[in-house]
Amino acid sequence: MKVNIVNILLQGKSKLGLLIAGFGILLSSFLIASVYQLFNDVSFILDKSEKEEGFQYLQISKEVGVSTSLGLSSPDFSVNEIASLKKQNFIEDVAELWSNDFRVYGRFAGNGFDMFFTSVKPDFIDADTDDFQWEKGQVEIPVIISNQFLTLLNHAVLPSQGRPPIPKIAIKQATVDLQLTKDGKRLSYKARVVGFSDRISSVLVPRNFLDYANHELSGNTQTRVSMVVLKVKDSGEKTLRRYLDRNDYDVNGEQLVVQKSKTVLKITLGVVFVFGFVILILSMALSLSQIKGLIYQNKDRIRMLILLGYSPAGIIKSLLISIAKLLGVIILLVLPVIWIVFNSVHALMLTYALGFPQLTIGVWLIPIGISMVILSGIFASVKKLIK
Amino acid sequence: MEIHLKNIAPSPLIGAFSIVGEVWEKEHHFKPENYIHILAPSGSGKSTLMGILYGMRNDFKGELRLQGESVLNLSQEDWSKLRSNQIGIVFQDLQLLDELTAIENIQIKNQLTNKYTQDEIVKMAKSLDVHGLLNKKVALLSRGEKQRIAILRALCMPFSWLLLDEPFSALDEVNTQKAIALIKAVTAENNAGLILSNLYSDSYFDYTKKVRMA
Repeated sequence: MKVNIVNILLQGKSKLGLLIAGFGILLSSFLIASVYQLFNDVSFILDKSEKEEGFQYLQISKEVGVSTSLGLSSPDFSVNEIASLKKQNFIEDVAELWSNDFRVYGRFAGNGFDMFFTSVKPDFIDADTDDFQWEKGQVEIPVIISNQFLTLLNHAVLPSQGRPPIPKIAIKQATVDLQLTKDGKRLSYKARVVGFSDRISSVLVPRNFLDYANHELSGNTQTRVSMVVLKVKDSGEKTLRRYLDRNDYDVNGEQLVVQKSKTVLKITLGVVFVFGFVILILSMALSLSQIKGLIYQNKDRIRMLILLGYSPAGIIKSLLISIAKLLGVIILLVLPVIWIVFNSVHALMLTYALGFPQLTIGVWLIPIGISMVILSGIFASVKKLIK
Repeated sequence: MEIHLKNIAPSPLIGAFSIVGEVWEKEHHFKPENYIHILAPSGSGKSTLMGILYGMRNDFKGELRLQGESVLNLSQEDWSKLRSNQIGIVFQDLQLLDELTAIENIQIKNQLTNKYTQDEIVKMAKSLDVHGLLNKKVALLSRGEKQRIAILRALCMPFSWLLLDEPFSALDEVNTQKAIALIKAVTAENNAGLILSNLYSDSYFDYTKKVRMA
C-alpha cells in the first residue's frame, strides 16, 4: 500500500481551479500550435510563387480602353515600354510574355475549343522544364499550364458537366490535337502538358516553337508581347502600385487578391495567436496561484510530512511529478487532436489542388515547450514556498 | 548514535526566571541503547527539549551534538535523513492526519524506508488491539486509539533513538503494558535507545538514567 503524498495535499480541496487551469493550458497549446501550423500552411499556399529569395511575381497587361478597341493604341507592349519597366529600381527583373499570331484550335475527347499560346524566358518558369523542349519537326509540343486552369477545370467545368475531376498525372498522359491556322495556312500538332505553373496564368510553349509557328503562319519575325511578368521584392509597394496605375497597366487580379488574402489571413492568425497567448498567460497565472494556494492551505500537512522525515526536495519532486503527469496528459490530448485536425485540413487542401503541406516540427515542440515553461515556473515558485 | 547536550537552554527561558533542574544548562551524554527518563512537571519544558532533540526548534543556546556533529551544521536534508532513519518520535499532540485512515497514517512513515510489510504492520497493530481500526479515519478514533496509532507509526522505521513525549497519557494500564511490550521489542530489535518524558516518575522501562527537569 502506497500513500501518495500529493493526494494528501489535494484531499478535501477543490480541484476546479486546477481543472480550469489545465483546460486553459490545453486550449492555449492547441491554439498557439495551430496558428503556427496555419502560418506555415498559408505561406505554403500563397508563397509558392515566391520561392526565389522572397521575390514576388506580377503578371501585367495593358488596360484595354476605347482607344485600344478602335485600334488607336496597341494592347501589346512596345520595346520602349519594356525598357522603361526594366529601368525602375523597384522592379528586379522583367520577362516578356510573347504571344501567338495565329488561331489555335484544340480538340480533346470530342470537344473543340480555341486556345492561345505564350512563351516566357525559362528562368521565370516555376515548373520543371526538363521536358519543356521542342525541336523543329517534332509533332508533340510540350506545354505548361496554369494551376488556376486546372482548379477551374476540376472544380467548375467538369462538375457542371457531371464529370469527375482529372488528376494532374492523368492530364500529363493526355494529348490535345491542335490546328494552327492563319490566312489559309495550316499546321497540325499535338500538345502534351508537362508541368503546372502557379506564377504565370497562361499556356506556355517553348519560345523556339512559338517563333517558328508565328513565322510559318504569319510571316512575322518579331513575336508580339501582350503581357509582361515582373519580378519584384514587394508587390504591395506603393511606388510600384503608383507606377502601374500611372501607365494603365492591369495586374492579374488573382495576384492582388492573393496579396490581400495573405494580409487578411495573417492578421486573423495574429489575432488568434494573441488570443491563445492571453489564454496561456491566464492559465499559467491560474495554475501558479492554484499550486501556491494548495501549499498555503497545506502548510500544516507539509510541516507534518517534513517532521515525519520527508525532505522538502522530496515533497517538491512528488508535486512536480504529479504536475508533469497532468501536463503529459494535456500533451497526449493536444498532439493527436492537432494531427487529426491538420491532416483533415491538408487532405481538404489537396482536393482543391492547393498541395499537401507537412506538419512542422514546431507544432509538436510548442505544447511540449509550453509544458516545460509551466513546470519550470511552478518549480521555482514551489521551491521558494516550501523552503 | 550518541547524544551530547552541553549547557542547553531554550532562548525564551533565558533571563525570564532562574533555570532549575538537571537538564537546562547542564551537560549530558546519552549513550547508544540508553533508556532515559525525563521527569518533568507540566510547563517545565519537556516538549521543548523533545523539539530541540528532534530538530524542530533551534531557539536555544548551548550545544547539542549528535554522534559528535553539532546540530547547527545540519541541513534540512540532513534532518530529513535523521527523522526517517535514526530518530523516531511519538509527539505529545500525536500529529496524525485526521482525514486519512489509521493505516495510511502509519504507511506515510513506513513507506519512507519500507521497514515493515503490511502484514507485519497488521501484526503489530494486533498486539495493541487496534488492528480492527486500521481502515477507519483517524478523526473517528478516540484519543487512546489515536495514541496507539501514533506509537505504531513511530516504530515503523529503523531508528537508534526513540523519543516518547508522554506516550501513554491516554492509555489505561492494560493498553499501556501492551504498548510498552511492543516498544521494548522493537527498540531491542533496532539496538536503539529511548528518551521518555513524563509528568511523573514511572517504571515502564529499565531506565539507565533518570533526569529531573525541575
